[in-house]
Amino acid sequence: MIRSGMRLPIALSLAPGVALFATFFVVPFALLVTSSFSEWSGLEFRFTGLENFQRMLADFVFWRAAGNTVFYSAVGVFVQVPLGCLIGIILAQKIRGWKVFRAIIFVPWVISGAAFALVFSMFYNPRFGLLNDILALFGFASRHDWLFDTSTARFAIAGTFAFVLGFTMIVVMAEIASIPKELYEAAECDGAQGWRLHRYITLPLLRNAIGTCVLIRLLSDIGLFDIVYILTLGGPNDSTVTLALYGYRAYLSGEWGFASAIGSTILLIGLVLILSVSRLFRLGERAQ
Amino acid sequence: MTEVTFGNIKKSYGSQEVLHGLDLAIRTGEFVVFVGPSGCGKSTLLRMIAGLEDITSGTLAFNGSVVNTLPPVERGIAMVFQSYALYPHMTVFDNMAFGLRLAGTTRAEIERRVRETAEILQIGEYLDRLPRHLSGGQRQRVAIGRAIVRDPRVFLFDEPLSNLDAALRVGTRTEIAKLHERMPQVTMIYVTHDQVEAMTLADRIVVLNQGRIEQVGTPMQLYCDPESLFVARFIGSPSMNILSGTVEGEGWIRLIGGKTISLGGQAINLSAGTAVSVGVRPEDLEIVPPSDGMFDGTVSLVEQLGEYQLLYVGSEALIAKVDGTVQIRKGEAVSLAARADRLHVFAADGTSLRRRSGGHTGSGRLV
Repeated sequence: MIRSGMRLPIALSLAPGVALFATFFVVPFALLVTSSFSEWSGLEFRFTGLENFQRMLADFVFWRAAGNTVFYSAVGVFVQVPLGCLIGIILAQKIRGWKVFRAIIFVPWVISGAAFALVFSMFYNPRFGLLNDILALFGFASRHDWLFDTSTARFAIAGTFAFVLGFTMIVVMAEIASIPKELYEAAECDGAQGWRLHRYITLPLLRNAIGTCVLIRLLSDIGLFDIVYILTLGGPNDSTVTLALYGYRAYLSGEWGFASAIGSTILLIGLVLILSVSRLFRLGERAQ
Repeated sequence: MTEVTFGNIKKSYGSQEVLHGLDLAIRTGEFVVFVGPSGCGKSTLLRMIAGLEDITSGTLAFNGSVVNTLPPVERGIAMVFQSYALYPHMTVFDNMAFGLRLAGTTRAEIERRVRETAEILQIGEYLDRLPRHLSGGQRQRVAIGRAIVRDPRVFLFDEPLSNLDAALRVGTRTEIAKLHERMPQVTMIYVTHDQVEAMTLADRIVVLNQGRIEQVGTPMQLYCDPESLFVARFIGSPSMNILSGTVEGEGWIRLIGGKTISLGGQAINLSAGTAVSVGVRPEDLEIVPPSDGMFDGTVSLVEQLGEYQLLYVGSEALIAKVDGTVQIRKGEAVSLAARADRLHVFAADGTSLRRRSGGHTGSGRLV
């Protein structure tokens, strides 16, 4: 029970937080959802029901964007997270030079996506890019334009972030540091050695950490925008377009209601993913 | 049926040698307790036996076969850890079955052995629970069960009772003693800093001090015939009173600032005037008339424990353990005495000068 004299100070203390939350979350969220069911160009507002969603679902570019988003997310979940885990587990064994490797692997994660995309735009450049030069060393000399070939562009985009392993690696290493050494010793006495120690002890105890990494990766990938925007603008022929970029295009063309419907869809997918991944990995339950 | 033999075992971390060449033979089915203060190397030694720590030099043999480089599982050992080290993501059943599964035991056999062991340890009803849903005592039983179920040749305990409260410690200690009776062919090696555990459980106690064996013997040998001042102080609670003195003549010692006491006709082979230490256990002291007193002083503190009371007497805070019903108060003058054959005499280097019975003697190397 809060004493009556305390109510005002408590309310005043909470007010800035509530105001910020309302301004930057509640109001935009309400606007997004409301405008999803409208035709709105900033001046006119007309309620259109599910029209925007029907149009979106009928548009093949939406499905291409959804497919690409799933592809990028899959690369994140099935390549980036497992590789990050593997590197984290290896470096957590304190192998020779582990601190140097940790720093080298961690740095790319700190660099912004936009800067990273610019670096990769040069790496993939058909005339002076390093990738073609490296391939030439192995006898695959060509001036292939990786980002403007519909068969390779998606993979080239995925290649820019698939090996940014810093976040997963650091989370995994921190979690491994909290696993008591005696568990490994007990498992050794029980007959587990080498990879079996990680199979039966490390990985099950990393459940929360891996689940968190998967969730963060998915939420980041369903909103993937900057790298694609800078490298290909979604092209060629929409072969790299993502849901976020698809929505941005709608916004640029003044179709704010349609853009909001796309935004709401991304939000809904995000919510479903949060619930599914949390359930799958039993996030929040103690692993130890 | 496993005899464990140490042959000049040494352990170093870099240039720092922590175990300085230990020799010992542990017989099949024997319950040996390594005891010593923190940092004496007892846990390191146990981990070397388990195969969790490399042996820098020397040989560790099981039934005569050197096992220095064998991994833990091939040594046939099972270990109970101080922290229990139960796998937190596995149920009690899975914790106990883990080793058997890795060994390729059939499902039916695993089921039978786990349930049988769980019955013995009275943890049958917890088999489906996770370790975090168990109390400390239950977890310790599961840890013991996990070790038993694999039918080990050598059972290793690393301070298994340290994390339990006093009441549970007594109960679990009794269970470990029963376990030893039930498994007479299994060699048990137990590490503790608690001399009560050592005294109550061991067939033989190995006292370690700074990486060396101070003495090996049965609990009563260590209690009655400590070979050194270190063992004398370490075994027994409260620990032995130690007083400084000088040899007065054949069988007599003059205590510093006190009386001359007789050793009951037993001579010590030192010339008059040589500095010695006289040891007497608190329980060997009794209150006597002033004319018969070996040690006189004023009671500075009385700790009443019901069954007995501890008197702290004189400036040296000599501790006497006397009957709890004796009426005595702080500030009273008392005279204390012990039977001459209960007195221990130690040379300046800490070695014992009197033997009350034929216990193990020597440099701490015993085979």
